[in-house]
Order: sequence, then C-alpha cells, then structure tokens
Amino acid sequence: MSRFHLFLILPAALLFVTPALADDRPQDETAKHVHACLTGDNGEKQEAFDKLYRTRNTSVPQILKLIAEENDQGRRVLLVALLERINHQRNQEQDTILYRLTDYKLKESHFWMVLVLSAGLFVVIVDLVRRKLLRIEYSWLWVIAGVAILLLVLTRLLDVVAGVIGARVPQALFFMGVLFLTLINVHYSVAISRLTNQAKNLSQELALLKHEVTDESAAKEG
Amino acid sequence: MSETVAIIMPAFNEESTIGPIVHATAKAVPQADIIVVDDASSDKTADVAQAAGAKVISLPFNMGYGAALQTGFKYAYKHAYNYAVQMDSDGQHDPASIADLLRAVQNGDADVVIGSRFMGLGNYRAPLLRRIGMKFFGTLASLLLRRKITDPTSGFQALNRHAIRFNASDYYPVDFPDADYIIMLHRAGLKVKEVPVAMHPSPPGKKSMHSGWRPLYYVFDMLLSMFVVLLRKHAFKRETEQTPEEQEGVGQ
Repeated sequence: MSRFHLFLILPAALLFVTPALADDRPQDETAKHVHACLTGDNGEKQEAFDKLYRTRNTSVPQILKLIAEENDQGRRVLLVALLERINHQRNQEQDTILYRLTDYKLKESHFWMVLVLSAGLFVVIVDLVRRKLLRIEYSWLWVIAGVAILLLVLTRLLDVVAGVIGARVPQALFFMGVLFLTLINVHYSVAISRLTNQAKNLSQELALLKHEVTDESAAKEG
Repeated sequence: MSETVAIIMPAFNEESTIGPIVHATAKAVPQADIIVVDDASSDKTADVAQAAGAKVISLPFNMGYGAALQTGFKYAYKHAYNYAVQMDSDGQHDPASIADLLRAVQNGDADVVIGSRFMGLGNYRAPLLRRIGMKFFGTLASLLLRRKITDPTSGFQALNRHAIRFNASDYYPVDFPDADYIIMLHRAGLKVKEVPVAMHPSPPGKKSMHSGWRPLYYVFDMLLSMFVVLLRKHAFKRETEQTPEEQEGVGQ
C-alpha cells in the first residue's frame, strides 16, 4: 500500500465513521406525555390552552401555588399546562438551536457562488496542466476535488453528504476540506523531499563531472 | 599497490584559511590527495585552494556542510581511494593529527576513526550550551553503541573503503552528520573508534553551522534522525569483498 492510498482511505473512512458518532435529535418523553394528555376531550384541551395562555407570564412557583389551590380536575389541567409550557419553551430553544444546526440548506446565492468557484477551480487546474505548469501526477487529486465539488453542488448532493456525515454545522464540511488540504500538503512535502534529494544528487554529480572535464582538458593542454 | 588517501575538506568562504591549511596538510601527509569541495563560496576559496595544490570540486550552489562533504566521499569512492580523511578547512583541525587517525584506520582497528578533542590532547573548551548538547548526544550515542563516544560532533575523521561507500550512499545524513551518523554507522555494521586529537578553537566571528536558530533545529533534527535510524531496517551492509557492479552502482 502506498502513501497515496492514505489520501483516499482516510476521508472515506471518516465519511462512514461520522454518522455513527452523530446523535439524532433526542426523543422527549415529556412531550409524548403532554401530547397524550392533550388528546383528551375537546373541552379539556381548550381549558388547557386557556390556562397555558393565562400562565404564560406567570412564574413557575406561582403556577405551583395555583395548582395547590385547584381541585383535582383543575389541578390536572394546570399541571398539563405547566408541562406544556416547559415543553414549549424547551422546544422553542431546541428549535432555534436545531434550526441553526440542521435546517441549513445551501441558499440560492451561495449555490451560484460555489458553482462558479468550483467550475473556476476545475478550469484553472486543467489550464495549469495544459500549460505544463502542473504535472499530471499532482493534478489528478485537484481535478477529482474540483469535479467532486462541482457534482455535489449541481446535484444538490452537498446537503445529502452533510446529512450522511452528520454535519449539522457547515463548518464540519470546512473541517473535511481542511483535512483534505492537509493530506495534499503532506503529499507535497513527500514530493518535495524526493525532489530535494534528487537535486542534491544531481548537483553533486554535476560538480564531480565538471571537475573531471576540467581535469582532462588541463591534462591535454599541459 | 600503494594505499591511496584522499583528504576531504568542505569549504565555504574560507579564502583566508584554506591556503595555509592545504599547504600544512600537504606537508604533513605528502602521499595524500587533497580534495577541497567548494560549497559555492562567494569569495576566491576555489582559486586559492587550486593554487595551493588541492583538487577542487565546485558545487553549483550552496548545499550545506553535509552535502559538500558527501560530494567529497562520492569522489573518493569513484576514484577508488583506499582511505579518506575528512577535516574542516577553517583551521580548527590540526593536520599533525591526520597521521594518528590514518594509523588507527589502516591498522584495521575500525572502519571509521573519529578524532576526539576530549581525550586529553589540547585544551579545547566549547561554550556551555554546546558542551551540554555534546554531552547529551554523546551519552545517547554511547548508550546505543555500548561504547564510549566522547565527541559526537567531531568532523575530524578517517575512514576506510567500507565507510567511504556508506558515506557516498543515500543513507548518509546530509543535514547534520553528527551523533546520528555514528549510530547509523554502527547499525550498518561499521566499526567506530575514537582517538585523541588536538583541536584549535574555530576562528571568532565566523558563522558556524551551530549559530542563530540552528541549535534548536539541530536538536530536533538530531533526535528525529536518531529515532528514525533505530526504526529503519538497515539495507546497507558492510561487505568484505565488493563485486564490480556494486562499485559501479554507488552515488545514484
């Protein structure tokens, strides 16, 4: 196995490992309970909502006091109202967080921007290879990256990929990108090291041959 | 057949010292060829060395001490010298000690004989930090070789054909050939031995390879290099007889 395989295996492995690590939105027992309570008879439901509405500015200790003053029926309704309120509050908080996390979709403007950028990357790389500024052996990773981004955006697969790897924050995708770039850089370090060594050997050889040539010509003259 | 000796001196901007050193060395060891590897000096080092009677190999650009030194070993290997001596061209190494080094390697005591400045001769004293570093890496090398190494940074050495072959190969650590180099030799099955030599302090004001930020990098490089040497399975093997093909194949 060459070092090269590492570049392919590592991101792929991450792709499969991350969904297992990502937890789904937790199932809320309280929410279920309140829901069950509220699917009672219509009058009860109405009353619960009323109480809920009336207690929206009441503090929890005050609600507890109200509960103590009520009879069994009213106590139950108030209790349900309290639970609903707590649950509602929690849901709202969760929703705002989850909205920021999960409901991220590529916006239309972003879509065009990414499309242009990735198409640009692809064109630049092909042009670099065409002008022989970039050797093919270094270009293929970039070409694949460019095409992959392009396809992901065009087919709207990016959202799917984000879902698959459990990326709730777009930054997670950036992280994948940084990881990919890091690997490419390591690959370049390897390539540069090899080139440095070759340059060293070549210049040593050159110095030795130059010495031989000047020696020979000096011997001929002398 | 008489035994040939190459004296390898890497030089970088040494026009003031290279002349006298080449003369003194030629006088001390008249049978030896003196090879000066000019590491792309900006002064007249190459001309001065040539005029003093040395063979001069000029590198196309500055490549550093280790790479310059290796060029000399490649030359020595290519031209089938039996022995090589490496020494500095700044006057730090005394040509009078070459005979001692050569004798030890010609006796067959070792493949590489290192001139140590801490074995009684001379009164060399390095700056504190350098002394600590030398002590540290010396101790490490001693432990790994199970044999006392007093001066792991000494660039004053005599080598036989096996060691020349090693130094001309790609195994040679061109960044800083010091303590890690000694361990490499050991791992490659080459015998290392120290003999006492006298050394002069290097001339003041000269930018040595151990100045500025280099010491930090040196420590990092040395530790990593030593570690890697121990991990590496050594493909290089000391051989008693060499086939002609192997002689051809070196330096590529």
